[in-house]
Amino acid sequence: MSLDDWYFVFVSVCLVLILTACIPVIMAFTPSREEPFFALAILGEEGMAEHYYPGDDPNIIVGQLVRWNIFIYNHMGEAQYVAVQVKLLNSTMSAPNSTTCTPSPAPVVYEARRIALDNETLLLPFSWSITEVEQEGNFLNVNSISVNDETVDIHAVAGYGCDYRLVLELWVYDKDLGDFQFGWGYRDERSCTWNQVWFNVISS
Amino acid sequence: MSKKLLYLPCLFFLIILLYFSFGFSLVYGEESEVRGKKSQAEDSLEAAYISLLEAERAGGDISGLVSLLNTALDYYSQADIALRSGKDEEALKLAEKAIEVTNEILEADVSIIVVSEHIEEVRFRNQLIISLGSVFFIIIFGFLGWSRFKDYYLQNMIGLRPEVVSDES
Repeated sequence: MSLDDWYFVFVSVCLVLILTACIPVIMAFTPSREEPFFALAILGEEGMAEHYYPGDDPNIIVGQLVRWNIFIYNHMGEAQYVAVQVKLLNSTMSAPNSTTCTPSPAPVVYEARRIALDNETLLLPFSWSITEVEQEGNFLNVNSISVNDETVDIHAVAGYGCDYRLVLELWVYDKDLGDFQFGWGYRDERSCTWNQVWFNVISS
Repeated sequence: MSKKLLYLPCLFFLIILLYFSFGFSLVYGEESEVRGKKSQAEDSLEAAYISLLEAERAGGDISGLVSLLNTALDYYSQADIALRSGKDEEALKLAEKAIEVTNEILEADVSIIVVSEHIEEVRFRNQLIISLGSVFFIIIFGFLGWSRFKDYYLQNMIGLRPEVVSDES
């Protein structure tokens, strides 16, 4: 190799070293380009995506305890104040709309609020049972539901007690608005996440 | 006598009216007190979250305070359920507990923001000094290294130069 070739190698190595030394300072001024997001999931008793019902039977008897775990993952780049709202719906009631980020109009059965650190995964125990039902002809009216040992009055009717669903919505605290919003915003776009599990209710 | 008889129903009506209005205000007052406390707890929780967020943005480690705030949020959720189940007294106690824990966070948070802002400043300054120092050393040692290498290279080249031997025979 000629001296000019060696000179080129030497200058290149020096430039790479200078750039490497400056990376931490450059990083401090460069905003993250990663798209922030949340993940919400319902997991079974063992914290896996299986065994959602006692004995894997979706026909839930009144008083029968069902144990789930609510999975929340925060990838928003900073700590977030979130609320998971649980709603009991039948098949005809409107579910949340992911396109317009509109929540379900059904009343809230249970709400759990948490602060999730960045990159933190939360597993919230969620045990529930149908505590009171009323048979009206072919319809079954759920009058109360117990969530984490607390009973809440509710009214949800379904034909033959079939096709009930528990819907979980993730609400995020917007500090500019000073209130919780269904979903979150990023660069003029709104995203939201929700989940549901279907089941039937058997009075006895 | 007839006048007395006339006053009697009026008096009875007045007593009934007073009784119901007093009873209603007592029940409504109790309920509004619980709702007021719950609303106060909600405001405190939001304020605590915002100050924790500021502390985090300033580079502070907020994990310990977040776990404390989650405890307060548990109390708040329980208060909410108790209120919806008609257990006003229990709801009031739980909302007060949530406020108590949140106040601890708000008091601790002021100092954490100040400390974390200072830590972040020092961290950035140190990083800048290390980077500038590294660049300085790379340039200096680069020049020195290059001049040494150049001398070594040229000497080697001179050593390789073919000598002209005079043939005097």
